[in-house]
Amino acid sequence: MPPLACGTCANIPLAAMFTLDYELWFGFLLPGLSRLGVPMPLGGTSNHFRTSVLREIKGWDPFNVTEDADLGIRLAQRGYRVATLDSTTFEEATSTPGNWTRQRSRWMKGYMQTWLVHMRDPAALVRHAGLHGFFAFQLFIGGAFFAALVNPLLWLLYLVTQIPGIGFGWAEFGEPLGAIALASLIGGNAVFTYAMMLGAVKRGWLHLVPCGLTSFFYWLFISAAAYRGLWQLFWQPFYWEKTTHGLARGASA
Amino acid sequence: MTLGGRSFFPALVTAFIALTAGLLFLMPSLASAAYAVPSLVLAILIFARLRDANYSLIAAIAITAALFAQPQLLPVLARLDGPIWLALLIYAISASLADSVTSAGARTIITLGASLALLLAVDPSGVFLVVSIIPLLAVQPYLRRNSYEMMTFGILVLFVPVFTALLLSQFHVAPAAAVPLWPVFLARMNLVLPWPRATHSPLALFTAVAMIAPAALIPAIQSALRSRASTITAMLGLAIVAAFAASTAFGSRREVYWLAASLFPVAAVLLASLKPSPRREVTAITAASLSLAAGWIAWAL
Repeated sequence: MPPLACGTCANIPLAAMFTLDYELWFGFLLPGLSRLGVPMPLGGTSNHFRTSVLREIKGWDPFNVTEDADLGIRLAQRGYRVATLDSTTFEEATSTPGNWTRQRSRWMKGYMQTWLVHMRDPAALVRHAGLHGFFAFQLFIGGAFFAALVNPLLWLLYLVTQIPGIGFGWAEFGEPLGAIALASLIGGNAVFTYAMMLGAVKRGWLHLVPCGLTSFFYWLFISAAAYRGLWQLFWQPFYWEKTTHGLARGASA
Repeated sequence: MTLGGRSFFPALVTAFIALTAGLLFLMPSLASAAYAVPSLVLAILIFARLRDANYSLIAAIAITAALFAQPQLLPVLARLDGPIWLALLIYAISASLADSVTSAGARTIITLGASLALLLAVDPSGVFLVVSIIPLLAVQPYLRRNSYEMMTFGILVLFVPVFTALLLSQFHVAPAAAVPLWPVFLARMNLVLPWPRATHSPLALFTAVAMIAPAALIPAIQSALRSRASTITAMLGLAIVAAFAASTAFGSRREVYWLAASLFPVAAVLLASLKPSPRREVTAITAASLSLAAGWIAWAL
């Protein structure tokens, strides 16, 4: 699977953050998963399959709105490996808030579907993917939407503890837990913000590095999309919101 | 284990045995020879960098030995409460800063940023050194990059130290306390080398600065050996002296061998960064020997 990169991200902040997001995912995380030999969610734009294998696993799940991510996990369940190639497929970054939200909420809904489907039989997942593959699945499929859902709740909790006179602070959690939470708040956000910026360095798109500093706000957008996806999971589980492409035709990185 | 395609495991074992034997009489027990491990790691890193810079085996050994045989460094080699970690971090900073002149990849940026961040926890001068790095990044435009690239490079390098400072301030982290072996080590070392009474004296300061001065003068005197990396490394040496002076001015009272521990890795990286030339090895060995001689002469005075 070649990594995807956004070729249209010139002056639009949302598109720039989308580009950094892609670089984090396709430039760092997926190659790392490939190197570890754990189940890997495929990215949609360009993949290369052996036709016989595709027929064997009965192709894509038509009811999963991120059919590519699900396919990657099913390949791992059947004992097949997915690897990344040293080649890049460029695609257009979504640049309008509405288009971006529809796309991202579909992805979040799809990851929830993928997690739910493969966790119907966790023993089978452990059997086929191994323990390390099982944990990787929890982190990168389950963690993707879970982190987006809890992100605003945790920030809300932190803000509440900072209100003077509210009578609810770190002491209620106990010293070790409070220290871990504070370290996670600062360190966790710092690590992912840094990783977003480093993605731009890898591509030589240094003009995007300062955009990475706004990652905190971008993640709030992702959280909003995750809640929208969660809502749709209950009321419109198979509804596919198609992303509109070609909006920035002619723009370049 | 290989470095640059060559296995250095036999050299590793030999060096460890030699260093352990050399320091054994200073240690209260054989087990405490484990304290030599960080020093050994640094010696191997310096030796490997010189070899990767195409110094001959004899030259690399000679320069590494000359840099390590300084009287100011003997207290550094067998303590675990600060100086040797400072030396390792400064080595990482100077090596990645020199590498960044030609290729500012993610690995170089992370090494530089993480080393600066760890320095904040290891040494009181860390804050001043992080601040003094900024002018070094700003001066790079004339070396290679445009100002926008330097700004983004600066953001990436300083990001980790800034967030580390934020984290440390929340948890009030202080450098580690001295290990109990230190008084024993000092007592035994005094039998061989009478410890100078005033480790804050100008002469002690001279021996610390003498570790890097000859090496730092090479790019200035011999333009044929000057490279962008050696220039920026020499500037880093100045920045370290300035940071040490600033931390002292703000009330941090430490022995001068802390400064020596900062400067000798920079001297090593500087010598490794010199432009390849027929005279390079002789010049580098001469510079390291001058530092060694200056150090021992000042020690004896």
